[in-house]
Amino acid sequence: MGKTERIFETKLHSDTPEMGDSPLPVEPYVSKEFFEKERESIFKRAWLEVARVEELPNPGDYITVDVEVLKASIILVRGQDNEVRAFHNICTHRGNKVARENQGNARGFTCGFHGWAFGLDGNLEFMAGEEYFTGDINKCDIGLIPMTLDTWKGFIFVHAMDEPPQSLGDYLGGMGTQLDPFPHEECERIARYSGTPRVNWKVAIDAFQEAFHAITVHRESLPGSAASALNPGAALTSARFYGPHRSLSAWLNMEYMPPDIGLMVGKYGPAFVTSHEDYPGVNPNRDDSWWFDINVIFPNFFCDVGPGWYFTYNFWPVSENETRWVMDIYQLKAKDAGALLAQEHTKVLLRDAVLEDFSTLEDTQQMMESGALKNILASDLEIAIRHQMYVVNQWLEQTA
Amino acid sequence: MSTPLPAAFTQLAPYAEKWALDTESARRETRMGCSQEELTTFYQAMKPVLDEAIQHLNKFDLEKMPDPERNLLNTALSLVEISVAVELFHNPWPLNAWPWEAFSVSD
Repeated sequence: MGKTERIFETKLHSDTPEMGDSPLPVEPYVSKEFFEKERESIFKRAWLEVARVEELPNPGDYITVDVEVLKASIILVRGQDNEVRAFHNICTHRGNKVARENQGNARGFTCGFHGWAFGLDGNLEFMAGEEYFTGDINKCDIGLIPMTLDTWKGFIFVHAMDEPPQSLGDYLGGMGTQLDPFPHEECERIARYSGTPRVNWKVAIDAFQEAFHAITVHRESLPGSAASALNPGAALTSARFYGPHRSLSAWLNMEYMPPDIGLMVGKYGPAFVTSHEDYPGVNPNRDDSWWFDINVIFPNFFCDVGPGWYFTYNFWPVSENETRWVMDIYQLKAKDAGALLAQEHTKVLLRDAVLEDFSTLEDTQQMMESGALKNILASDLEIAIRHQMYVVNQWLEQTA
Repeated sequence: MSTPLPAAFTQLAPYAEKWALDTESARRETRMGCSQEELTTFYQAMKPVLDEAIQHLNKFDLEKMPDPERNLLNTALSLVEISVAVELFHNPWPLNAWPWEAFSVSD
């Protein structure tokens, strides 16, 4: 293959692993058995991003996060000592949930079944019927069950193991180092979108880690943005691989004309289609015609960055063919109405463009499940898809 | 007038009645419930004064905006919302896309 000459080539970092060029089997995208292996070998062994610290500004603030793939509901709570902790949302008496709201501010958590009350630090403070419990039960041992938690730049990660094989910092490695200069902590969330398509989590992720599809899928929302005669395949401008993670820089056609209203409001603040100045923590390769960086933190978290904005995706597997997706968009706080309108344009355009991205997911899943196709094909434009599958297989083999 | 606007922008009153909405989900719902003709009429009426409106609004603190300015800002946010329908999709919602109703917006 490769009959005609390539006009544009993605600059690959020297750490790119040798991943071959064979077709990718369909089975990992449709098999229940494969999904169960991923649950055990990946999701129970990886650091998983669940929230940002700004969601818990004050002592007593809590949120609950459902992590279906771990079959868990997790309470994230800021204690009186200002520490953020994670607990399984389960009463140690007979297993009922202790937090029934998705968020709030509390002095503790009282189980609605028999009234056992736990402090923000997880300790069991009131054990209703204490005098009637016989046997070897120590009140100190039956506090809320903690879950391993660490934060990086305000991102809260949890880990299903009591003693993870790597610290969060070591796990993120070069991916963390690349993003460290970005001022995530100065930004605020301006939007949250979510949806639960009938699709395998890897099919969903793969739709967001190449630019090749932009030529067709985004022909209406972003016409002429990701490709031109200079780069007809919408190749990434550069790509870096950091262990299981990867960072992909999208190429922008410098002749691209943003829509009128986007241009008008883009004068007053950073917007997705109009801001291209240098910024800390972006464009690590110093590429020309650079648009934004797609940063994929294995297994299921994206932190895409541009000048003055970033957005995240969490792809939460529910089953082998259902995925709950959440997108959060963050920007520097709008100082005036003009900046707010620029933010709004970013939100609306990204939101509707992502609707286009979703157009292929359920059809792809349905047809993969037909069994008609044994393998899919991944070009060099889609190296990230190959890398995701390569890492998934690596993790499955490690624990086989 | 139920939806007051700053003096220089009163010609937008018929649009503000419908579009001075203070959440993204309300603006999106309203967009999706309109015909393309209705969106285009609103777009054509407000686009020529958008820059002037921003310059006026930028003199006010976002947290302490008087009602007429707040209404103008919310109407401008609606213009941004519907602009992609007029400029890009040529339809109220993206056509080659997942159904917009399946995609939830948290305000």
